[in-house]
Amino acid sequence: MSQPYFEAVAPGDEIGPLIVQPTREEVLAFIRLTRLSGAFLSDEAAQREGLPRMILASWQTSAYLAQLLTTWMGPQGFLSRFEIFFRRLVETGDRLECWAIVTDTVVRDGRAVVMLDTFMQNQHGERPLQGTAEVVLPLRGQGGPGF
Amino acid sequence: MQGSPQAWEMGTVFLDLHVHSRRSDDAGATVEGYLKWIGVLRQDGYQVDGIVLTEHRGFDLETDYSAVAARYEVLVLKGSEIETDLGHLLVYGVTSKLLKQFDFSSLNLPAQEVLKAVRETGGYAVAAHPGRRRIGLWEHLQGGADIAGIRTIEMLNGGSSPQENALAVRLAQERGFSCVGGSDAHFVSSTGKYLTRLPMRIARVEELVEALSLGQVAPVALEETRASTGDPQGDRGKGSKQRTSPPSPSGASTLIDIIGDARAPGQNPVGSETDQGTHRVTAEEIVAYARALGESNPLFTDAEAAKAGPYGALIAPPFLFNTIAFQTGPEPLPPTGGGGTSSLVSAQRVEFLEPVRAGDTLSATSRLLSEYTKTGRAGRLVFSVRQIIYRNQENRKVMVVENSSVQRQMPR
Repeated sequence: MSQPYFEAVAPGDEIGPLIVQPTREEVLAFIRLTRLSGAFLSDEAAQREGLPRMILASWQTSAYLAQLLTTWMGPQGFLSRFEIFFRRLVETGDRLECWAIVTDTVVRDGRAVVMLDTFMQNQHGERPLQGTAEVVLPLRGQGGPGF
Repeated sequence: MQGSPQAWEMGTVFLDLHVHSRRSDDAGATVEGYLKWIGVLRQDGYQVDGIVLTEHRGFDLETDYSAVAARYEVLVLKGSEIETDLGHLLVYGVTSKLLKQFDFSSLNLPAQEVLKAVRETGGYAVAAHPGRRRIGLWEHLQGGADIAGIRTIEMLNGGSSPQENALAVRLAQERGFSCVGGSDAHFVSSTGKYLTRLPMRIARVEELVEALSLGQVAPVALEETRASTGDPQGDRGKGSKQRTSPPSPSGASTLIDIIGDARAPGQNPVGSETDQGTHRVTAEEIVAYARALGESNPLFTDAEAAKAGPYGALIAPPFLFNTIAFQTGPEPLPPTGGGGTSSLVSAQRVEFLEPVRAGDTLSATSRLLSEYTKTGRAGRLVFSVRQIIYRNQENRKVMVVENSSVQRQMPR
């Protein structure tokens, strides 16, 4: 894994896309890790709840956005804050692009913090998830997150 | 209107008339964050002179942004986005007198009465995102609503789809409305997508109201503001990031998710803390979770590689705890439909304090932070915010989580 350093990051930098298109099998594999049921299990179950087809759990979709950031930040980066707003349904088969944009960089309490907007966009150009995040990156010549 | 770049007249300013900060319940941006971002846009050759904070269902009389506005050399004005029986209205020039006449938190204010009162108190109202379903003027007009009193619409809205903005264009053409543009930004990097061009410098909200009243406004896309700075090259640098349409800011109403920790309204008094139990995080659990998400990050998937990494062990991907919560927390809600209640997860905020390693034992406590009720078209809505604190086996906080959810009580 490559390692980005704080000094090399600037507002306006784009991260992504991480593109995912979860299949029914992948959705079910995630759901098996949870106690979720209903609309996450099949089209039929979803339709009984008034939905057109099987949907992804919010916890799965937000995890993809986190994956974008944890992959980008490298082994010495640390995701310190994540705020996500769930705005629209994500259905199985949707093509999902995960993006982030650096909005600010600050050194706070001795930590080099990158502030980001992050969002997931579907094939219709809609953003079912949008939020913000903060990632602590190493400074050149210094060690990792120190935990 | 969008089109080829042209040289704007001296004195032309571009304001984003529709911006939400964290004071709105569905926005994640600070005012200072917006102002810093406008600095980034300016560095790329765009002209953005100011923003108007139009928070949902409220107006902030107290906060004075003049110092931060001066520091970033960006005009910051305040307005409100209210919800009426003609859809959402952006109100500029809000006064304490107007606030005494109407409860801005209402979901169904009487538009004609509001419009009259806004005029009488020296303000101006604009129909927001008129092409949107349910909350836009177009649909109300098709239903035969009286739209007298509306003179200006937000023709270009950054949160609307191209189809919704096309309806707004049609509405403007058919009815001869004057038009403005606004990003409807809820996040920093969305601001400025659409703006309003005004022919003169603006320093106070009264001057904005005057320009709106005189129809001296026009909607523009961010790219068009390059013309005023002598850089008509268009798509380069930061501007290219605005490649896509941001979401509908009111999209939360379309989300129907049935997960979450919501319980029957009133079951837990606000502030009561409940023990959610403990859970030992295993390497197998981490790897299974990571694989289910298609992860290849060795910190989550390869015990040997992770051992040589900065944490000396496999660590949990950030949101593994969401699956843990279901195993130790309250029972999931029953399926939706057929009456009863359904739950909508609207937001999640997480502060990660330390990594969670394989072998850690987490304990969780949960507390209801706030709960309130609203009545909307979908019936009675119960909003709740619950905080969950996760500690490790050494009793150190590793995560602080806030889950916001909405429970809808279906009409019976």
